[in-house]
Amino acid sequence: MPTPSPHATPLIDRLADILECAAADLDEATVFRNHPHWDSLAALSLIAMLDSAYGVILPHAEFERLQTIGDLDAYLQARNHSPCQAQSRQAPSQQDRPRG
Amino acid sequence: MADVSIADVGILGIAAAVPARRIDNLPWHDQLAGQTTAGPLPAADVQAIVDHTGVRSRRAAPAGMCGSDLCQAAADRLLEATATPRTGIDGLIFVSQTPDYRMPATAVLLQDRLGLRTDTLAFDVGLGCSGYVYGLYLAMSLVAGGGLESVLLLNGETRSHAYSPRDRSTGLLFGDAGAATLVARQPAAGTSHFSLHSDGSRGGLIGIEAGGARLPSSPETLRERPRPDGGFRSDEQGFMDGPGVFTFMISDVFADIVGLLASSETAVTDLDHAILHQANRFALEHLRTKLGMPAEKVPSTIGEFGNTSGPSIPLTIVARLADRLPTTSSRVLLAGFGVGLSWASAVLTLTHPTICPLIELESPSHA
Repeated sequence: MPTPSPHATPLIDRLADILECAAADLDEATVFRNHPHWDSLAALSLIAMLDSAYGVILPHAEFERLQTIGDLDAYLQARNHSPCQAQSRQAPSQQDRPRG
Repeated sequence: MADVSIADVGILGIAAAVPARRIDNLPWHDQLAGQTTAGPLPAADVQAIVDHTGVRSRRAAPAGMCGSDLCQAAADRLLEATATPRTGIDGLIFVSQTPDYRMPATAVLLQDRLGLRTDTLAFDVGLGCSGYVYGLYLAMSLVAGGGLESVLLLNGETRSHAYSPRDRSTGLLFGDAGAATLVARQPAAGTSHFSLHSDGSRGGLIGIEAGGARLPSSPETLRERPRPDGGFRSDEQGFMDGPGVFTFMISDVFADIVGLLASSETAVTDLDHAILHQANRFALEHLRTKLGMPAEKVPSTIGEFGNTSGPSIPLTIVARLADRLPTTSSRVLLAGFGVGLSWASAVLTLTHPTICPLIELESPSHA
């Protein structure tokens, strides 16, 4: 089994918690959705963990694209652990308003 | 939209009713599993769902009892408790996605059942989990600018019948309830702040496919069958994408609450209570923790009554805050969010509201 990159190890530990398995059973190539313990509840725990531990919220479409633990790790690295930009609250400008 | 404020309109009182008939999820599902030949949830899964959602029990209306009946019982009690003559109500809003009929509007039928004047404004609003905060905004707006002195806001649902018992995401989650809220001019209410949103691009996350104009009912739409998401339901039974909705809650809903608190210049510590739509225990806990609010300030009824959609906020107020609210003035945050997607938050003051004891309805009063 390949050695996980240093920043992947805490992620693997957290995933092992969620999947209720040993961390040694997981590596960056693991397709987490195919794990025997993966179900919709595990998916929710994963989303919650990414928010609590990394301050990252995966948009739903992005979440669907990530297959392996390596994909997850790469996503987190790309976001540099910065908080997710939720839908910004924008007020329409006066020019957008209907005119009588 | 930018946050809106409404001044000097308040909530005079709230009442709520639930069916007396109770479903305890674990034994109920055991009994069901013995009767079905296809797609029952394994017992271990049922335990896991109950642990995650927190729904140990919920109320289920018997045949012939609708959300409107629960609202009627609540409204009758509320009008009596606040000494409000029926002729004094100028408007009635019924918020539900399980109305009595496709037509006429249930609100109009309730005008008659409650003995209100015929020059009462009455209409339905087809929203679900955002329906209480949206309803409050509408009721308060009608009083503030619409020439009405008082409005009865009724939120009622019988969702226990709208989902397949064998569907993993939804079968054990929903319960029935109805609530009545009396909104009127009240200088002591001060300013109420609202923030309201809609995103139809994610409309596919929660819904019922068939039975409307888009896909009319047919023998085929009534057939329960396995689904790609692992669920088991007919087209006439509700579906929900759990992970998509959870993501929505911890991003958009969280951001909305934080934004409204900022624009209303309210610190989290200024709030006496936060009453959030009772979606499920896991999500509520995550939101509560993320907001930094202690559990004592965030009451919950998910365990006892399940997810009742729009009525869940007033039901939680009635069931958990009846002792505290009437004797004081409280600054509260309300947040309703879900099907649509539609979501709304409010920061407002409850000044000595009348809170009626929770009603348990055995049968519809007009039956």
